[in-house]
Parts: sequence; C-alpha cells; structure tokens
Amino acid sequence: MSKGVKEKQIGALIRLVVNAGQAKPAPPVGPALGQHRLNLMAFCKDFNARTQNIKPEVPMSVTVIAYKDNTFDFTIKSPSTSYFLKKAAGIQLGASRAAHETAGVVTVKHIYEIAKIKQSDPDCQYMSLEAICKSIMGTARSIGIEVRRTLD
Amino acid sequence: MQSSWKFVRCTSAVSFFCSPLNFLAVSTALTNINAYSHCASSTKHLNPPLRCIAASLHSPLPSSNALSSAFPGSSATSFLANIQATSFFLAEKSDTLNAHSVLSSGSTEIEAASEDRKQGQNFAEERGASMLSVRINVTGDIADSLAESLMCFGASSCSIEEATVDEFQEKEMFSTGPSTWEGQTCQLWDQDVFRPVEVASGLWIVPRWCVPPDPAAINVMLDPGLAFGTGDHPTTRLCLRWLHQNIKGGEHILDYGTGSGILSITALKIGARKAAGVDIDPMAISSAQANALINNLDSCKLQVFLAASNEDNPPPFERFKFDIVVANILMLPLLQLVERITNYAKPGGRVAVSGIVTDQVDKVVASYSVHLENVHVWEDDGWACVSGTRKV
Repeated sequence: MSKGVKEKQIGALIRLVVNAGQAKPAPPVGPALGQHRLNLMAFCKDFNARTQNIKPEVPMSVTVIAYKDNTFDFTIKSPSTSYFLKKAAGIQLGASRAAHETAGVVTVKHIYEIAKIKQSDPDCQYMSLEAICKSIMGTARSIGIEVRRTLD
Repeated sequence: MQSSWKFVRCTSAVSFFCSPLNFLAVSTALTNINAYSHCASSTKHLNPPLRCIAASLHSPLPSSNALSSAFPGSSATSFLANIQATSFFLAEKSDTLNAHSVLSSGSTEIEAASEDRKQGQNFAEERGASMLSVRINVTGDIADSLAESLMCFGASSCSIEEATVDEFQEKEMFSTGPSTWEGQTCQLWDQDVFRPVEVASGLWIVPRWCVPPDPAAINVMLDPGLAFGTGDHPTTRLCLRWLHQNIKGGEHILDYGTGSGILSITALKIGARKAAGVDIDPMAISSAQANALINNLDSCKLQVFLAASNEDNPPPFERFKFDIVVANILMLPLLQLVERITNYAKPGGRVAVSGIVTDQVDKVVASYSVHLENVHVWEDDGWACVSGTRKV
C-alpha cells in the first residue's frame, strides 16, 4: 500500500445474485444498492458489460463493496455449484429429501467440467482440482444428485 | 473500567398491538418523558436513571398525537399501558445497582425495537404476538450482571453479543420476480450524486434541477429517471466527445439504444438537424421524450421508437439514410445488430459504437471492420468506443 493511496472507508458489503447481462435498476438490485446511494446505472452497465460472455439468465453471484464516499467496487463470482449441478442433471429443483431420494444423475465428467469453471473463482484458487471436485460431490449429495462414472 | 463493549439484548413476548414503528434512542426519549407522565407515575419507585430507561421503553413513538392520527380508533394509552405491563424495570429491587451505575454514568445507549410479524393490521382491534426487544450497549464487565437483573425483571430472554463498532448487519432481500418499479415513490437519483458535468469544452450535461454553471456553453438539461445516460459514465463521455468532434451541422442522427436520450439531444443541440432514437425499454422512450421537452426540442426533431428485444420488427427506417449512427449498448447486442446498425448509415456516414470493455474491443473491431473503414478505437477508464466510416 503506497502512501499516496488513501484508504477508502467501507460503508457496506452487499451480496447479490443477478442474472448475467440482466442487471436493471428495478428491484431487487435497485433497493439493495440504492439505499447505499450508489450509482445504480453505472453498476448495471458495468455488470452487464462484464457478463456479456456468459449466457443470459445464468445467476451470477456478485459482491459489492460500497464505500462511504458513494463509490463502489464489485467482484463477480461464478454461479453457484448447485446451479451447475442442476443444469448438468437437467433438473429444475433439487430433491426435497436429499439422501433419501435421488433427483438426478451426473457423471464424473460433469463434475470435472464444473470444477474447471470453479477453479477460476477467487475463493477456490488455493484448492487443488481434486479438492474442488470433492467439494462439488458433497454439494451434489446435499441436493440429491447422484454421481456415477458413466450414464448407461 | 473500559473493557470491550457488549450488547445485551432482552426480549419479551408481548401480546399487544402491532406497531411498525421503531423506537427511539435514549437521547431523544428523554425529551419525551414529560409527554408520558401518566406512565412515569407507575415507575416512581425506581431510581431516576432507571426511570429514564423505563420511560424510553414506554415512549416508543415520537408523539402520542402522531400515533392517534396514524392509527384511527387509537388506543394509544392502552398501547402504552401494555408495554408498561411488561416493562423490565417494574420492581423495587435496588440491588440492580450494577445496572444503575452503568446507566447513570451515561455510558450506555439503548435501542428498542419491536419486531412484529403481522403488519398493517387494524391497530385497535387485533392483537398479534409480538416481541419487544431492547438493545443495550454496555461495557463488558457489567454485561453479565445486567443480563441477570433483566431476567429477574421479567425479560423472556437475554443474550449478550459482542458489539463491533461498524457492524455489518446481514439483511436478506428476496426478489419477488420481475416487477416494474414505481419511479414516483423511489428517488433513483440522489440530488447530490448527479451534478453538472462538462464532457467537452463548452458542452455541459446538467441535471434538470440544477442551474447550468456556464450559461454561455451548450447546456443539455437531463432528468434520466430510470433510463441510462447521465453523462457520468465513461461510455457516454466517449460518445459525446465523438459527437462533438464529428457533427458539423445539419446531420440526421440515429441513436441506437437511446436510454435517456442524452446522445440524440446533445447532438441536436450541437447542431444536427434531426435525430431518431431506438430502445427496447419503454422507460427509455418516455425518458427520452421527456428530456426532449425539457430542452425545448419538439417531436419532429427527435423521434423515438420502441424496438422489440429480439431481432424481429426492426424500426421503420430506410437503409442508408443517416449521416451519423451512434450506438452505446453492450457487446452482445452490438455483435448481433452489426449489419443493421451499419446499414442504417449512408455510404461515407460515420458510425460509433460503445458500451464495451477494453477486453471486448477486438471482437467488436473484427466484426465492424467488415462494414466500416478507418476504424479507430478510443478508450477511457477501461471502456472503449469504436468508430469508423461506412464503406461505400
């Protein structure tokens, strides 16, 4: 931290889930950010521009750091693991009684692909690919998705 | 004595009328003590500081008059009587000296809040189960004994939490689905945030509620509402500067993705003859029309069209008609609409597109170079604008 850079005071931390390319000033984004007096339009435009390379309607998790001087920074993380698993298994909802009933099936190849996407997430950088795979399999177990070697 | 601060939270189940109002902190409650003298009588036996606290619990509202007017058929007094009945401090015990000494030293703050599950019920009639909770900020060495005393006085539960000075309180907000936002009730633009900005020498974008700082310059008055385009964003600035350089006078402009209409209106003010705007958002259409009126431009100078968000039904323009085409949207629509956007420009006409991040420039340049020559890229603060001349 150079002496010339003034440290900004953090006002609030806001976690949002927004569909890629579809940030609008309407609720829920609007009130969530608007109450911290942030420039909504700038956030929407910025977020939409940065998620252009992602299919629309994919829910992205965003963390916005609002500073006290009404500026903000945000980081976009990859969508949630459960979303990927549900897409891979082709189901809409997870099992209502996980571990008692199976809602869908994925193969280990799906897990590997999901792990590769997750590896670029800032939170997962320190984990080995194998560790990420194990954590994805744990999530799969918790929403009732079975993991098999191949789909027959 | 000064150890870490803790919060002592006490709750008590109260069946009383629902109130969506928040309670006051001690400092303001103290000024209301006189108004609630009828409650104070029941707490005469308490030590003065405790009485203050009790009174603050009794006086959750700024004034009983406000309460009566807010809830007709008011049972203001019965409301207060109910709280009184559950006040934590109705006891003769003076061995709560710990609490006493803390409170009298003025080092505590109290927040009382009422959490109720049912809102909007008829105040006089219904009773809903509700929790009355008080948050007391105390020093750590006293917290335990205060909590015990409060339990003795009848609180249902008392919890001690670590207080951090700037705590982040997590609030969950759920989307109830896509809903239109009534612009009238929400103030989207904080009047301080949106200020007049000089995008180029002699060209200012001024919010409608401000006075132009330089009356001699070209001033575009703007009230964006829920549409995009205040002049703040780097992409808007890039496009405005490009327009400022390229408009010589009398041109016919197409603004694709007009938003608040800022680009078209500025172009008209700089010297263009006619402008047409297209957007997929109805809010943008109304915003652009309103802004045109604010700037004394009638509808024959600026025409706005609503386009479908898929590619059907293109707006009713002829091809090769416009001298200048500007599009400040996003990379994906720009790539999908490249043919349409460039075809609207007449041969030799100028085209500028923006709303792209510097990483996305290459794709856009590659796509637009098919139709444009003299392609030039301008950058500002991580955003870029690609401009060129339509091939003949």
